[in-house]
Amino acid sequence: MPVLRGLFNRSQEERELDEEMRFHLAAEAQLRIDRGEPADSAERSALRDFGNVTLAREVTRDMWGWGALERAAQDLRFAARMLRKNVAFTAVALAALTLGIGATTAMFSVVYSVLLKPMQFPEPDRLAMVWERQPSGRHNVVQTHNFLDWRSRNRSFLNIAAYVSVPANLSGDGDPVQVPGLRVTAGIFEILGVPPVLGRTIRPEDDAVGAPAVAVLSNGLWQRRLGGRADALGRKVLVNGAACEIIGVMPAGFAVPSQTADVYLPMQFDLAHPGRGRNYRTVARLKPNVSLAAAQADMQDVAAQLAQERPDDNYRWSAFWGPAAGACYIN
Amino acid sequence: MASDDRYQNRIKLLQGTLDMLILRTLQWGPEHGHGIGLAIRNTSQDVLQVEHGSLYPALHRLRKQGLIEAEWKTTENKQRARYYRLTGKGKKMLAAEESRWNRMVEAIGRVMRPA
Repeated sequence: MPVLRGLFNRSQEERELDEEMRFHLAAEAQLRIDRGEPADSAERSALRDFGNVTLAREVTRDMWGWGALERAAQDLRFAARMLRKNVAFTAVALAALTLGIGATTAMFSVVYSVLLKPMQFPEPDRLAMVWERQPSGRHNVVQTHNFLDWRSRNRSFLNIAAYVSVPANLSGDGDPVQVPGLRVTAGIFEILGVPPVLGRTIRPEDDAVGAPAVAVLSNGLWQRRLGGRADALGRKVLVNGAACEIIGVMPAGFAVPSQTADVYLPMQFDLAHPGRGRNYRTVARLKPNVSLAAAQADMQDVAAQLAQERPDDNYRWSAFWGPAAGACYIN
Repeated sequence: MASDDRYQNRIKLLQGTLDMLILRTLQWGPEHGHGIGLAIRNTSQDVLQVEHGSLYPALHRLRKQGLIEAEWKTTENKQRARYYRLTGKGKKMLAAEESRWNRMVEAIGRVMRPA
């Protein structure tokens, strides 16, 4: 360790410099005595000729590159001495620091475990985000029609679900507020493997056009808006002006991959007019005995069929996927 | 630190010349700090009064640059002293400094006493 060696050589260098300067002064004084000057005057003259001894030592020492460090250490030693002298002040300062750090640490521990700690989905390696693949090779969100065909034609997934964020304006009981909302197809909660803490989640019959309006709430919204009461189930909440029945509440910390929301609404695709825009993220859970590679090949087959069937939309487009586990932070 | 600045300014003023004078003095053989100071004083016939304290920062700087080497030896009076010696690099530097110095003196001379 060159640094350590430097530290030890340090005092050695210093001793040598001191000895060198002492020798210089003695030799100079001797020279003057030899010329007939009295001893005490000779020593004074030697010192005068030399100039400021301390300064010469300091400037030389600075050249060794430790000057700044040395000064900081001096300041520290001074601070320590002052603290030792003012015991009462030190005690109060120490107590304040101890309490402050302790309280902050305790608070953070709670906040971290309750609010921030990422929650893992069960078997996250069997989850995947499925994307459309642009002719350029980049991934892209998914078109309604393609998603529906993926869902009906694939042979690899237990289920696949689409979701898209929408603003949710809440009114009715309490102040009107806008919260992040999410439209999801039925089955997404089962795919992710997270059951509700209260009630039920969105079923296929909720997801049909014309079905009664329902909503699943995040735990946070349930606490904030409904006081965390169990009788919230069955009550109506006005979402974007439509009265939705609250059917379930998700656990604290739940979120779908890369998207947080307070209100989950059924997607209710209008199959008569599916639209051609690409809007949706999709997440799928693999069947138990299907490998990732097999599922990838399967999806490419399906995408190739769709490219032939609807070349206007899909010419040279394909499908591929990335692991969802990485995206599955929840908070 | 004000006093520091004052001292360093002084060294800076002398620096180039002092370094050259030290190297030149050591050309005659190894010498300790006091001896170097004496030699400069004596050979300049007391015109150049080098404040001896400023020798030591200069010696350490030259040593750091590898132009001189140091070794502890005993003097004729049986005292321990650190002797400095020119290195090969130091000799080359001295030659370069010397020719630069000569050119400068010549040029200044021409300006002061135009032919």
